[in-house]
Amino acid sequence: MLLYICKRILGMIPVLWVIVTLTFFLIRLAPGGPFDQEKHIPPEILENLEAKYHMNEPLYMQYVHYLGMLARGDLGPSFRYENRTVNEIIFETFPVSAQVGGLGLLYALVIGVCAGLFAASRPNTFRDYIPMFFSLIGTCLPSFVIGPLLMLLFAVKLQWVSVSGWEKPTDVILPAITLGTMYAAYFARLTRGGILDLIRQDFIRTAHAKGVRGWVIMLRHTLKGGLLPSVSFLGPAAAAMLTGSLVVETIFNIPGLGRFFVQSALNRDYTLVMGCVLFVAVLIVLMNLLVDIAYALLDPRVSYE
Amino acid sequence: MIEPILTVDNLKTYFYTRSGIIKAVDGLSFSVAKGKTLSIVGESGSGKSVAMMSIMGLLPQPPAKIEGGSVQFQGQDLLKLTQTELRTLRGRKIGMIFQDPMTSLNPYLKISTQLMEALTEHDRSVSKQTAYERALWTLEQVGISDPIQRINQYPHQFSGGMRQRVMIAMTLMTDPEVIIADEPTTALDVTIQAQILDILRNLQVKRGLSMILITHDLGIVAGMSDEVLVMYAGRPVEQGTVEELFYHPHHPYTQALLRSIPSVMHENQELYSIKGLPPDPANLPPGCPFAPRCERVMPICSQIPPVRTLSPTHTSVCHLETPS
Repeated sequence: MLLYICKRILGMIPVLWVIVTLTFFLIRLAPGGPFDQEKHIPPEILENLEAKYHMNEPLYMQYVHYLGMLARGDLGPSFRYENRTVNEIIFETFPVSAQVGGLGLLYALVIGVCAGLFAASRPNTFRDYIPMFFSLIGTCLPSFVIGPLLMLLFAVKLQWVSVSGWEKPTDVILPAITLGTMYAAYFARLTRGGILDLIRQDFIRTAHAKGVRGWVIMLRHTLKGGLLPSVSFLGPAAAAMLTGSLVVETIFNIPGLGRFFVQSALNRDYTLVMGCVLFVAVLIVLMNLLVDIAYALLDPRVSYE
Repeated sequence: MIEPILTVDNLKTYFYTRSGIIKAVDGLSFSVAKGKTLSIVGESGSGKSVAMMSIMGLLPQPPAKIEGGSVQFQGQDLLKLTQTELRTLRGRKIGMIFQDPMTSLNPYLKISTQLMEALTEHDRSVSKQTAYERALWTLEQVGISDPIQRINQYPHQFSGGMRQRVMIAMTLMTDPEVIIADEPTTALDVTIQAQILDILRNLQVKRGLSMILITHDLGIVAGMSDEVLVMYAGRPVEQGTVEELFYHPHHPYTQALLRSIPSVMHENQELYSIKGLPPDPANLPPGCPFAPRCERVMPICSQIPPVRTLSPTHTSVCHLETPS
C-alpha cells in the first residue's frame, strides 16, 4: 500500500508538468497582457516592468526561467499585485477558502449521506420522495439565490450571524452552507442510488433470510458498498470546494482564493494564474489518490498490491 | 407417519404486474416430516422458489401478494405473523441456502462478520467470543480446513464450492429445525456438487434436521429425499415417497420427467424430451395446465383435474384413473 502511494505521488510529476506547460503557453496565447490597462503606460516604464518580469526575453527562456523557479518551490511575483508573491497570496487566502470549503464539505457529506440513506430505506414512498424533492431543489438553486436567502433569514431576520465579512468565527457558517448545499444534494442522490443498487443483490436477500434486522442490513450490509459512488465524486468535489468559489466569496465578501483565481485570469496575471492552476491541480490529484485509498478500504476486492 | 414440522396448505402467491396477474404459486400443499427431506421438483418458473420465499416472508410485496393458504410451523401460521415476528424465526428456526454462492455472500464483509451476525442478531446476550467460537465450529462442520485463517477472509477469496460451504455454515450458527435449500448445487460443478450434498446429508442425520430441497436434478432427488413433490406452472402435480414417484409415477408429467433422464441402458437412443414450452404464467390454459403438452390429453382436461389419492402418501392431480 505504501509502495502504491509512493508510486502515485511520483506519477503526479509528469501530470503536473503537462498542466504547467499547457497553462503557460495557453495563457500567453490569450490576447492582451498583464500590463495592458486603460491608462496607457509610458514606454520607458513598460520597458522596465518587462525587464523586471523577464517579459523581454524570448518565450522559451521565460518558460525555462519559470520551471527553474518552480523547482525551487517559488511561484514567482504577482504581475498585478505589487510587492506580493504568488506564494504569499495562496498562503493567505487558501486557509480562508479551506475553512469554508472544509465545513461545507462536512455539511454536504453528513446531510447528503443521511438523506440518501433515509430515502433508500423506503424507496418510492414519501420517505424517499421528500428528501429527493429537496435534493432536486438543492441541485437547481444556484448559490447566488441560496446565499442571499440564507442571509435574509439568519442574518437579517434572526440576527444569529453577521450578513457578510470575515471577522468572527461564525462568519464561516452561511458561506459553507451556501457552498455545500448543491454538493449535499448530489451526495444524497449518489448515496440513494448506490444503496438501491445493492439492495436488489442476492446477498441482501441472504441477510434477510438470516433474520438480520432491517436497519442493521442498511448500515452493515449496504452502506460500505453504497458509499462508493459518493466517494468517487468526493475527489473532484473536495478539490473544487476547498479552493473556493468566486460567487460565494463575492456574496459574503470573504477574502478567499476563488476570487484571486478568476481575477488573475481576467488581469492576465500570468504567474498568479499559473500558481492557482497548479495549486488546484495538485489538490485534485491528491484528492483522487485519497479516493482510491478510500476505495480499497471500503471494498475488499480492490487491492493495490 | 411421523409428525410434520412444517405444513403448507393451499398456498397462493400472485404477482400483480402490468401484463396481468401471474399466479406463481396456486394452491400448493405439502408437509415436511421431522428429520426428513422433501424435494420439490419442477422446471424453471414452476414456482418452487417463489413458494419458499413466500414461506420465509422474503418476497417483495408488492408486486407479490400472498392471496391465501396457511403455513403451519410449531403451532403458528407463518403467513399471519408480522414482519418482525417472522424475522425472529428466519435464520433461527428456518435456515435457507441459496442457489448461487457467488452472489449470496456480501463481498464487503468478512466471513466472520457474516457468520457471527446470524447468531448475534437473534440473541444479543451472546458474547462476541462465543459467536466467534461458534463460527469456527460451524466452518469445521462443513469441512473448511484452517478455519482460524479462513474466517478473517472475504468471500472473493473463496471458491464457489467453499462459499456454498460457508452458506451452509451460516445456517448452522443457530440451531434451525428446518433448512430450505434452494437449488444448492445448481451453480457448482459435479464433483463439488457431490461434496456439498454429502455435507447436507451428514448434517441432516447428525442434527435431525428437516430439509426442503429444491432442485431440477432428479438424480439428486433420488439420492437425497424421502418424499417428492412435483410442481408444474405453480401447481402441485404429484406427491409421494421417492419409491412411489420413481417406480409408480401416475401423472403424465412425472412420467415424462422420468423418461427425460439420460440412461446408460439405452445409450444410442435419442434422449426423450417433453414437447413444447411451459405455459405463459399470465395466461394459463383452463383446467390442467399441462394439457397442451400432454401425450394423453383428453377432452375433459379443459376442466380442473381432481386430486387422486393413490396411497396414504401418494397423490396425483390428473383426470386419468390409471397410470399407463
